[in-house]
Amino acid sequence: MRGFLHMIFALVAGVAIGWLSAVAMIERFGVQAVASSPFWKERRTITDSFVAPYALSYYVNQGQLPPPGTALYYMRDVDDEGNSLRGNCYYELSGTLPEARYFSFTLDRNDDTRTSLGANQLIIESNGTLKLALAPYPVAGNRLLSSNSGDQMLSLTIHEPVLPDGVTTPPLPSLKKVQC
Amino acid sequence: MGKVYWFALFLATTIATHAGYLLSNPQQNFERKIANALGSEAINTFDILPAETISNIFPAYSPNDVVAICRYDVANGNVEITSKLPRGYWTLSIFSQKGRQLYSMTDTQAGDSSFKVELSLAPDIVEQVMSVVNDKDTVNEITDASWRVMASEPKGVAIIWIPVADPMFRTATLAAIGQSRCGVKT
Repeated sequence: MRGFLHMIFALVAGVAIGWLSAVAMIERFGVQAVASSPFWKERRTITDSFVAPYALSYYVNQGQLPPPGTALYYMRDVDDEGNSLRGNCYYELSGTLPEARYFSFTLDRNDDTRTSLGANQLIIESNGTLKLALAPYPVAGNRLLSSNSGDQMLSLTIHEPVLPDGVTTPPLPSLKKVQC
Repeated sequence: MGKVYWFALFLATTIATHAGYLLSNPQQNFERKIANALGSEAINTFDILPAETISNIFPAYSPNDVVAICRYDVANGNVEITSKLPRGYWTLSIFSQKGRQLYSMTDTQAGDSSFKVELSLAPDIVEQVMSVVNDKDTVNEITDASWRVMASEPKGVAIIWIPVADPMFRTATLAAIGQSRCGVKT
């Protein structure tokens, strides 16, 4: 009887821990900070790394498809000081233009809506750099409209990037809070 | 000794449950959510997605883009995808139902604005052995398709994605992508 109870306990505990660890690892394990720009994060699904199955499962589990293999996809939900991206604040993104066939910025607002600007819609600075505002009100130049409340997430998709040999990540733009 | 036995049982159960969940649960969720978004009858046909559905299914795509999706099923025969798209950047991506990308093609790789891709189910290990025994090549049969893709699972999705350069081109792009065909090869 005691052996039977031990067996039941081992089985129940094994199922519970296996299930919980899979759920937790799918949610958190596949995401990693970009080494050169740690506030940007990525889920590398096409890689030999052992985290790839978790990164892939994260998307599939939510009824989503991962970015295609021809694209790099980065996301961030904090500014350069590590604070959450608030919908009621004005942020300025700046950096060099990604060398790629196409790229787009998308803002996921906390009301489950998205707004996006593609490479062909952006105004480029005279020195070839890019400035983009995240704001809940009109500002001059490129702007993604915030939701005026709650937290939000910014993503950058770079399609067919042109990278030097040995480089896996392009230079990613910075994101500074201007005012709240 | 008894404690080691129960710990081994616990460890084996943990690993089996972890692997089982990782391999099967996301796939079932994906099937259900895609069926909810597109309708359970939408098999082997292209649907042009509205902006809110693009956001729900493709985190990497912009809601301004034009996206057509076909849930293919090659269990009852090969599926042929044909399309003639406007000049400019586009991609065709084919995913298994586990979300693994099987194939991708861009306008520059296609070298033309039109393409034809034939999807078939990859032969299983027994069929491969039998083809060797019978000296019959089941993998490299010549077809009239421009490209041929073998899927390891019968079901999945094919996606055509076009970033629209200017809203004035959107209607023409939608009309062109609307002529795309995804259906069982006759």
